[in-house]
Amino acid sequence: MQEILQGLTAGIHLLLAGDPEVWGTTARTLVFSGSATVLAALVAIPSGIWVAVGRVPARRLFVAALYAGMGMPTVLVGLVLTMLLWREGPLGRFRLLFTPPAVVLGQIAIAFPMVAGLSHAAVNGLERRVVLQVRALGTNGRQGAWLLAIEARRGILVALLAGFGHALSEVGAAMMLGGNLAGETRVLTTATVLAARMGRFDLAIGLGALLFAIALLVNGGAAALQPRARG
Amino acid sequence: MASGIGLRLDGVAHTRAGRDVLDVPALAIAPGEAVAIVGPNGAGKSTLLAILAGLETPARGAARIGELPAARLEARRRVALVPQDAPLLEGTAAANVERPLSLRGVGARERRRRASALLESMGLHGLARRPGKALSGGEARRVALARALVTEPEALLLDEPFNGVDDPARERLVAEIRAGARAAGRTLVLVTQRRDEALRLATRLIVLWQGQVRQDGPIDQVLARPADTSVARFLGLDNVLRARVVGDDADGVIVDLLGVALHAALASPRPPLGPDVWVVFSPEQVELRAPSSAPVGSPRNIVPARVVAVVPREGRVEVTLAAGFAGGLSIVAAVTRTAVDELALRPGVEAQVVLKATALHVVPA
Repeated sequence: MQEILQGLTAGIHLLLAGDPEVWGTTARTLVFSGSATVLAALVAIPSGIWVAVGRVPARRLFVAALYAGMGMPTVLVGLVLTMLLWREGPLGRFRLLFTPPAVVLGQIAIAFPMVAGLSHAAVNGLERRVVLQVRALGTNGRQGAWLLAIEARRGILVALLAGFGHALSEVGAAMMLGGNLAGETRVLTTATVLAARMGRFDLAIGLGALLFAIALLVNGGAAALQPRARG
Repeated sequence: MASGIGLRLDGVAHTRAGRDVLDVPALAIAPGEAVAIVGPNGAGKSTLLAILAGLETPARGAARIGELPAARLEARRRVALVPQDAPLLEGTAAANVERPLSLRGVGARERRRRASALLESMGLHGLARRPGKALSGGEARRVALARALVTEPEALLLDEPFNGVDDPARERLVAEIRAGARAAGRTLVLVTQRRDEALRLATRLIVLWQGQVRQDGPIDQVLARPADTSVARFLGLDNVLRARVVGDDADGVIVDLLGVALHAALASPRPPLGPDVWVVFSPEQVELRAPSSAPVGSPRNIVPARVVAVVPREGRVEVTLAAGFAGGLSIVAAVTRTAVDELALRPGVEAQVVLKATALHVVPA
């Protein structure tokens, strides 16, 4: 117990002292996860809306796939992408493995089903009369999707935050695809694992505390944005 | 200025969640026609309207707007549908009215001009800057109607547009819809539960029952001669009375209702003598007179009766009378407040029920 308390004190001290490795890793984490979420959202939000209201053959299959993807073990995503990006793999010629784009790619794959699934849920939760009204205005597919996204904007913002939180907190794919290279592909989760392995509990706790604070902010934001239950 | 466009369904059938909700072999609405669709809840009225507007694709069959498949964007943009409880979307009332124009690529200045002119003409200018979602039910319905009209559609489809609207707002809406449709020669399709709205806005009535067209014809004809007793009751024809055919005359039959013989003119093949039938007539077709008054003209059916109840309804007074053997025949009349005063109608008072033979519709039991 005493070790934990000492570690916590030392971790907080490291944060307050402005340790360049801690803050550099934090900045990199935010950039990787933020860009992965934005890139995933560009396709995931329209996909979620399309599955919710479009003319989709085998809609239930798509919905099941999205929801299954939300619970996909991140290490499995890492494994599949590692095999694809491996030097002899189908995408090996791009030499992406153990580079920042590989980490971002992994996080895109992790954030995508979360953003698409929750966007689908948000639009699917709109009243039928709203969907009908949007069509009745004479919208084409793109215009209709945009208007529905505006109507379901709270739920879609929650989807974005959840996707970001999921990408931020995963460790398996980042470790396998990035290799945890200092100053290059190391993010908060992989840095925490490494610090703990090395017995640097102060650093591990400091990094963990930062990760926790960011996750708390993101999830708190998502909770605050949830539409209130109608009384 | 827009003119009307025809709407057509060919062999349309639709299912929802594995349940058959619509089966319409053929339906054609002519350009400029005003049609009311009525039917009980779950009859498929809203689905029919959505398919006519190209917003839902039927499981089988084809829907056409003019000559184009209804689902095509250019076809859908020639009509406007106001769904039931039409929601206003994000933005001000004015932004809601402008939206269909912006979706069609109309420039900002022209959008503002057209939306503003329409809101002004509908007396809604004061609401223009208010958030659409903050408007009351009646205000929102009128803004939704303005939003539907701003593109000058060739057909206007309305799904119970007066639900939850108070009487003054309802009157304004009915007047606006009627004036707009007549001025533009616009095709009008109205789903409603109310006979008075159908009568004021439409010339043709379609009765939808369990997804099928039970009756379709000129509105006065459908109201005078409903296809069966369930349609009659649904249409508010309160007088649906069991009778027996006891004889025939030159232009119809004589029916007996608990000892009261009535002449009914028949447009359809006359039923054989004997079997039970239903005699249907609307309360508006019942005339009441003082018991001692001499007959005016040559009414075929004059029935002595006693007033049982006098109940004021919207714009009329409903008088229930007992006639026939032991007063067992209950007849409902709809009369004006003036008639109630002149005849001093109140429970217990005697009166004469006068019915034209042509007002009685005989339906096989």
